[in-house]
Amino acid sequence: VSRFFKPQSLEEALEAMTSPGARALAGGTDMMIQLRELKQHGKPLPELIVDLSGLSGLARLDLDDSPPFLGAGVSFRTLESHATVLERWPILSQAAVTVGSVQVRQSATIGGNIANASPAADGMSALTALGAKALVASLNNRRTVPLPDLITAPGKNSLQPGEVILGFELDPAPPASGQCFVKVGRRQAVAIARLNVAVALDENLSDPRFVLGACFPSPRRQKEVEDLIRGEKPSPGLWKAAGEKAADAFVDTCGWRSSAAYKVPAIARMSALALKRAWAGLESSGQGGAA
Amino acid sequence: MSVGKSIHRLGAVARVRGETRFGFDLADRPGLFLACVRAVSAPARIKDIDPGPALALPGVVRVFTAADVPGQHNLGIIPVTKDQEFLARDLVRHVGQTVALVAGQTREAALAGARKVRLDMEALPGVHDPWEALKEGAPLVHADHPGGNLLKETNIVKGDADAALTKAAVVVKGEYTTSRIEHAALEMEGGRADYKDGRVLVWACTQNPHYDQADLALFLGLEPDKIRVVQAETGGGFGGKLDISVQPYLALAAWHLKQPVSMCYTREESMLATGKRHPFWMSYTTGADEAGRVLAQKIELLADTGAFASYGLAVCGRAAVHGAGPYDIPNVQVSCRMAYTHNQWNGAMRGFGVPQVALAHEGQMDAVARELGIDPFEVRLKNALRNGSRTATGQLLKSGVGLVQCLEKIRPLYEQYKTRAQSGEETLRGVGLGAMFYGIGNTGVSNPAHADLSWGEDGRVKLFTGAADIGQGSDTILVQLAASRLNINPEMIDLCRGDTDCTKNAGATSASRQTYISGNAVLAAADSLEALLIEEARHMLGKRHADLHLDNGVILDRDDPGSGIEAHEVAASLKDKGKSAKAGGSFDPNFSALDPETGQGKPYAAYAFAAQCALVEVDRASGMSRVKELAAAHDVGRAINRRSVIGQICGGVMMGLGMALMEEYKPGWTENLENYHLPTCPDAPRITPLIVEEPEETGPYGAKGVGEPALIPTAPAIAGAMSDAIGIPMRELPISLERTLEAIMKKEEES
Repeated sequence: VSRFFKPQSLEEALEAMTSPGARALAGGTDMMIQLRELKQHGKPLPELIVDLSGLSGLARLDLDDSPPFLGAGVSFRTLESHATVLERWPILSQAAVTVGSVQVRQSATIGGNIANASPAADGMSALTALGAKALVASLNNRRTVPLPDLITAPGKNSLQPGEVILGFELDPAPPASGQCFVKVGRRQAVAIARLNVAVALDENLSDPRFVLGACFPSPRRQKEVEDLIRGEKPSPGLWKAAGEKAADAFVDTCGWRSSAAYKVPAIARMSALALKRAWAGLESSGQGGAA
Repeated sequence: MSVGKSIHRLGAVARVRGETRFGFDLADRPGLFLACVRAVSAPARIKDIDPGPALALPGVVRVFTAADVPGQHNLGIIPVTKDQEFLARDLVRHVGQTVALVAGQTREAALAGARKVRLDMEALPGVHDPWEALKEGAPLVHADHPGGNLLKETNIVKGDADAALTKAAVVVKGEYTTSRIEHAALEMEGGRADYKDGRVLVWACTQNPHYDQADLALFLGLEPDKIRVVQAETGGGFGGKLDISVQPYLALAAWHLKQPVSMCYTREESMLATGKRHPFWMSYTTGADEAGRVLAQKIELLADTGAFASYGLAVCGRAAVHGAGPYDIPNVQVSCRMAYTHNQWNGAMRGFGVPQVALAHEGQMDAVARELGIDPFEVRLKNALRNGSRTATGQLLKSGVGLVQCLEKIRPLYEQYKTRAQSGEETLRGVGLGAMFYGIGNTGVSNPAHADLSWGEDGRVKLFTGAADIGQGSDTILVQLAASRLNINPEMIDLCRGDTDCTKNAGATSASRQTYISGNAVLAAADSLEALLIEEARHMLGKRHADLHLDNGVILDRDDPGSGIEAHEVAASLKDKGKSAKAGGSFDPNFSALDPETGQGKPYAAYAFAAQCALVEVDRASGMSRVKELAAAHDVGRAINRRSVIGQICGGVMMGLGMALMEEYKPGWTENLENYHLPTCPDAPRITPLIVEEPEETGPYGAKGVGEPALIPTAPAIAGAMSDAIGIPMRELPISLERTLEAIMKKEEES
């Protein structure tokens, strides 16, 4: 039988997290399913569940700070419609609105989405493209970790016992109009991504960001793709080549599984689409075309 | 008159308030809890079942095996194919079959016990593909079945299809497949049983309480009157609650332990343990003349019944009868075979094989249209069944054929969708059509319903029906029919439903039959009750030949409008004489059995008709698709409750959308709602329901049925629209991301 604790302050929470077998609970939309599964198979539940949902400090959005800060407890429902997020980091909103259903997004948080470490996490791809770093705290320590270092394998993160994610430091650099997030799922909602693509381009293609999600065991920017388009002249042919490069990267890393018959062409085509849309966004905002 | 009005659904307020106790909810009450031990691989021989480790756990009360079954082991919904062991004896035939049953003091204890029962099984060679199953030397699923692995073959021969094909201007061939589909009713199977005074009482969700009673009596070796089944409020069925599920386990444990027991399935168990929609393999050859008139349809169908027969015979027959679609075709040849395999068993699901064949007969209409360069709408209109047409079984449809009206009703929307079907740089768009006919009630067999009505001395009327309302609304419809015939307000009627102690058999809630068949039974009961009351009133009034009639609870004399006598006074008078003011009525549709060789006959007394039209959009890059619009015109004969009809249409469309685009049950992978994809609200198109009322002469106030028809044309319409968008016929369901993108790329390569 596990104990449940709802701390009133971050200090209380971090104190509680030092107890062996403690697990942090954020929105609970993934954890409830995991706990039910453990119960069904007669496996032991976590000894202590520390519910972070009452900590208003975790739901902060300090987007004018330097660096801009996004609290781990911010819900997807907030992210999908927050004016500043929409204005400056639209891929976060675009990714948020594809998560689960309205009911799930009401409860699910960006911090929980990252900590859960699913390769298909939609928030993960967007934050990775934005170069976000997680701010991680334990009772006696704070540190920042880039997402590719925080997530080590499907369902595995590098958080130490006692650590929780407080939030994410965002990179303000990519122009908003050059951002694009696209997702493929088997239905219009409550769909786990078959793949997603998060792209952030600047007007010179000097610092392109390209992340392919739900394809690799842990989040990463596709350097091969970014290198291919960096400083190049934008064209449909370039986007197509970049898409093919992304598909190659997938096959190189994951091998040819049965799902690849769909995924390889879909990666190529969706990657090209996301890049095309991102560039079109820059162009229509008057920021593109310099390259 | 109440008929035709959208009165509120009976029980709606309690449901909205969350007060309704469904069968599943009854498992919360005090008593023992039951859990099944299920086979994890099959086929296999059971060498030993060791309950010891389970019984050693605290709270585990008893472990039952087949040896504890006092009566007949083999059960099943069709009397001639009872082959399903609810506790496997020597063999397990499919993954998920129950081998032992654990009773625990709590749910946790029962589940822990179920995990500890030790099974010693010897793996046997199996067959998991129906084509393989029918080959010489395939492992037999039921060694004693006379047909080997062939459960049933139904043939239909009308005219000479082969000869007609040689004379056709165009001949088109098509191969089609559909997937195994889960019903996914909101409520998982659950219920409760008790033992009192030598009788076993079972309350459980079901579509067929009287059948449950009969099979439980066989299972326990008791007379049926020693079993009482009460249909608990049932949260959806779609055919999945026609076969028994938890009932035999509840009855067996209550009978042995003489105390209350309860049981409910988790979602995973519900998906693992209950029947699915039969997957079909369909091969069609269609010949037409230059004007698009279909001359011949030659059809070969094969379906997988899995390890047990369940409703296989019914699905086999119905798929054959409906195989050629709602068209007047002079030459038809159908062969439909149903094979046993060691797969999870398949059973009834909304439409009994007709949603599967509809994919094919509609795909063929599109193919004929394409080949001839005629609009697919015109091809359907040209061949549509009309009053005076004959079906593939040779049945003359004298009246009540509303298909042309349905087509005409969707025509403006079809034309409008076509103007919106231009493909763009990123997306493809297409429009598709689906049409269907559907025989109401069971195929070529007697399937009567009975109903009773009583008039109380308190002035309230009581309707007794065995017809299970599983959320489709038969309670409301039957009350509306009774109220209309008795000239009273529906609120004056109380209901006793689905209790084998106080209602008579109304047959299953299946085959879209309760409005038509139980509806007619209710009208007959109302007429009998009125006659009974009038006869008594004549005595009371001393007017032996008075022209009396019932109006709003009063018996009036047409020749003496000033006089009248309250019906409840008449009821009281009957009671004083030791009689009761209760009368029954029955109805059995007029049919003739199908000829065993040619399949010719009159399998149904009434048919419903429908036509639907879909507009879809497909993303070129990913193959993701969306249904934007869906127009659904349904000839229901008469809408007893319009809102209820619209609800059925919209729900059916969503179920058909799932079948078309995403639903596929894959054993070992989709026993959960994470990997088994059902459509969600954002997947819903704008649905335009259109009601056509071409009265059925024999129907209650002209009504037919709509429960299954609502679903049937949807997948064909969506598949047609997807085919139109992509430019390649999409003939395998579901039209998944993978199939869609593959087709898009194939088309790109071609052009």
